[in-house]
Amino acid sequence: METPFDPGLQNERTALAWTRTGLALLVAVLLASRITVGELGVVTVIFTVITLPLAVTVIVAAGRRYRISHRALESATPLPDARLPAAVTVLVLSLAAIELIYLYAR
Amino acid sequence: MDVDNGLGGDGGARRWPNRVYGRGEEPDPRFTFANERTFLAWIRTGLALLATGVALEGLSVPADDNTRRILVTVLVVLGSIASGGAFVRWARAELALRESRPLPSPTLIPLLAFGLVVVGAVTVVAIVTT
Repeated sequence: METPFDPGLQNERTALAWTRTGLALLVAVLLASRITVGELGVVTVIFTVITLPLAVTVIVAAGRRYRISHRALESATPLPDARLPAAVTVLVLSLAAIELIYLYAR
Repeated sequence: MDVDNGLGGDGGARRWPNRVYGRGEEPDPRFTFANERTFLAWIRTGLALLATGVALEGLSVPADDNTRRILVTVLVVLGSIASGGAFVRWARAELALRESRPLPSPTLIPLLAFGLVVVGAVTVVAIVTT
């Protein structure tokens, strides 16, 4: 069996943080879509089509990121970069945007 | 300038953003992981602030439409600052780690604390006086 790289389980804890953030994002996207679709119609559809795959990607990427990090710690390859964090930031800002649009459209 | 970060042999994969990864040296990976988890914690804080706005609107609390609209707007703005600031803070902290400098001061914390105190107080007053 492979052993964790460090006794502090940094990579493992980070992977779990990514997973729970991804789950929270998925729930947020689904709720926002459900609440706003009656009022905003096509705007919500566009929002959902873009953000739902992104939220699922975050959860899938959490596992991928763990494996890449594990390899980086074991050998001389770089740790993952900040593309996924940037995507998550954009996702939350999109949620904020649709919440404001909904607030002022009703 | 390309800094050899001692990780070489990756086939030239460039890490984004270069503004962070192009400077300094690769820090202890434990610090990089911790910085990433702090970023994620801020992201979830931002989500929680957005969710609070949704809850106020959905439950019609407070009952006055204008007061509620202002409160929800403030919460959405705070949530945006928390999530946008999460990334900015991550980049600054990672750069500080790479260049062995002290971590940046947490400007998000006083701002969010102040904002939440105001939102909380206004909500309570609005509920009591309605």
